[in-house]
Amino acid sequence: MTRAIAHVDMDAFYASIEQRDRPALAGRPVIVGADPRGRGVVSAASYEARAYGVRSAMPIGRAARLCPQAAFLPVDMAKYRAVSLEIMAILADFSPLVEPVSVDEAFIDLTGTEPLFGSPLDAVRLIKQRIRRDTELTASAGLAPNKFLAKVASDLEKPDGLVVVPPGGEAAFLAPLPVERLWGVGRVMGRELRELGVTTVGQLQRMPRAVLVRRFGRHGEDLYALAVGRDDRPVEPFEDPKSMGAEETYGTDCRDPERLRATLRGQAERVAAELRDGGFAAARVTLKLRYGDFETLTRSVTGEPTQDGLELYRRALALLERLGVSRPVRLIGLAASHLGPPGRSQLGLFDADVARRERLAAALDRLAARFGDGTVVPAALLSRRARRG
Amino acid sequence: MEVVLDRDAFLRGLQMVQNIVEPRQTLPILANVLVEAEGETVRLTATDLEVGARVGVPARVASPGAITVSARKLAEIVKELPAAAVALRVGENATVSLRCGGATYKLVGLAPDDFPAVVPATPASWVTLDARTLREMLAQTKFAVSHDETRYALNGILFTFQGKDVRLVATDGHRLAISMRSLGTGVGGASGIVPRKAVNELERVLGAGEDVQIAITDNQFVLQMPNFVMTARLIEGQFPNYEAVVPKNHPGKLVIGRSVLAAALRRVAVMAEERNKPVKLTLAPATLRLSASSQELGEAEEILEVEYAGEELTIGFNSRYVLDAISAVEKDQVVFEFKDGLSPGLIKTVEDEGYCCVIMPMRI
Repeated sequence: MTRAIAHVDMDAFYASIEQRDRPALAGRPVIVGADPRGRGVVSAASYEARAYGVRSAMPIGRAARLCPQAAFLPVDMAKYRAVSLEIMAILADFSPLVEPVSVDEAFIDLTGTEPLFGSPLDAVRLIKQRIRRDTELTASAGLAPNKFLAKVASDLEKPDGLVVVPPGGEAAFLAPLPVERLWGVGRVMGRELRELGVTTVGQLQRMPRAVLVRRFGRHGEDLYALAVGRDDRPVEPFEDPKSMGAEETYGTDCRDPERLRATLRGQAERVAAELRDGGFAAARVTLKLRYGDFETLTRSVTGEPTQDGLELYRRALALLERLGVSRPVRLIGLAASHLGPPGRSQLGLFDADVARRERLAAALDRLAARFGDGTVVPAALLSRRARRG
Repeated sequence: MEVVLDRDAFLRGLQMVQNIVEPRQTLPILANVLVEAEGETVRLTATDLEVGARVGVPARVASPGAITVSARKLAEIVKELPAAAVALRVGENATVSLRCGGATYKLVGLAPDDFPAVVPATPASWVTLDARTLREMLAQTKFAVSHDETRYALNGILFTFQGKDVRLVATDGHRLAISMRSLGTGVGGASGIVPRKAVNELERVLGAGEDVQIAITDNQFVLQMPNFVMTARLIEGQFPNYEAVVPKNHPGKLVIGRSVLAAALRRVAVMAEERNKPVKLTLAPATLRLSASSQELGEAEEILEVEYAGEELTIGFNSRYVLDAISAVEKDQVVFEFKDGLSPGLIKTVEDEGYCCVIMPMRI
């Protein structure tokens, strides 16, 4: 059966939200990300900033040199997540099969929705209208017989684009595109393909499949399938997250154990809040540490499932202490995995204060929902900030 | 080095130390067993740096010496040998040749110099008790040892010597098991957390009748038997204040046959949710109703006539915890004490025989 899959991708999502909320920024280059004097990265750049060559994931310092006049804003994840929920709710009105890929993009399977919304193309137009009307933001969309093509299509005419790949037109649609557009073709494979004289997908389509398989093994098969626009993966509405985490790069490499602990404490609280928000408890805690020379270590420990920030911190701290920090640290992070339902039904012998902490966490979550993340933080973090500030 | 041993004695000795060798080691030599020949004995030593054991096996020592060889391979070989004399000889380059009947082996050894020494502490005093008692006490507590690697202090059994009492305590934070025996003589005062691995090894080596000596020093647990010594580094960390959580004077008292309760629990738990196997106990004068249900599967119920004195109450437990607790006693009658649905239950024997288990309920 021919499917109708749409990929909806918000345009410069974080930056557009900031421009929407601060009219003075409309039409100006806006860069959302780390402190421009520091060493973090760009999370999102408005189209005005992209004109200067600023891209997401670029070191923020470089972005500041390329576009010094830009407005630099910190990442306000709580706000973006709230907008994201609005958008996902709109998509859910059009099909039960919505697969969020990240906060600002999702696949929607519109197959069989004609009686409700007319042709899939009409449905996508309606989706874009609803998003614009309800959130004052624009989205680009691709409509195609599968996920891969829909994703390629949504990217072609950004911002506010709408590109349709009709059934039967898959190969013709892909032919003029550079091979790097294909999933799995990175720098290395791109170079190898160029050595074979292949730069466009069209040239790849004309290669005998056997040659690709011989050269790239099983990847060759996948490559060929993608080149002719074949992709059978279904739109999967609920994919439970595998892990939740937080990490931070220091402005200058950190050798202060107290500061490492404070960072970890804050991360533990944030990850715990995210776990509670998603209704999960994590059995595994992983500590990630990157030294100034980029050597990166991870250590994990598995125990009773928890969604308690202090407990996550305790476990991460034990890992940190066992690891023994030997040099200045560039990055530290904490991740929670092996997620499952919180097993709060078993009472503990020695946790007289666990019930108290659970109530406390619930209260803090409500405060954060109302006033924003970080409204209330552990005193250990506060004193740290006060001292620095 | 050149020795001749009896195959059966050799195998028994190897089996007493061989399990200490971890399947994966940080140092290659830790995969080996140290074989030392002197006088009329071959001493076999194994260690993983935390737990170590040494056993003496009678032997004819033609020339004394020492060598280390793969513990696993040596045990595998000796296990397959016929019951006859086994001749061991160390040749050039730490090669070990082994002969028994018509079979010969050449094993690549490692020089003994780098083998980490197993040095038993010299305690101020030893506690002597018979092996059967110690085994029983281990069985009454071991099941409650935590497997949660984030709670190091709970990954072993707390040994406490005080006055004339030897007390073993284990907990995983959900349940707590205590086994206590009063000895005829003073035992001094000492305590330490013995890691689970050492506990497992103890259970393996303890025989039926003979007396054993144990001691706790600042950082070591030591066990001595004739021709055998075992050491274990104590777990550093604070064992929780367990005495505070042992309920005193619970008003509700259920007296029940251990096998009756176990069988009913097993029958009902079939329908309980897999992870925690929760079973609900509803107590009323003279009856105990056990029930379990799971949304996907259905439900089960069983009513027993029992001796129960106390108020009506409903309480939920992980049924595995209750089964573990009652399996640890030999007498058939057990006492199960309650206060209310959210307070811990206490299981002990009818005449206080030095065992109790505290189990926290589940919210059901």
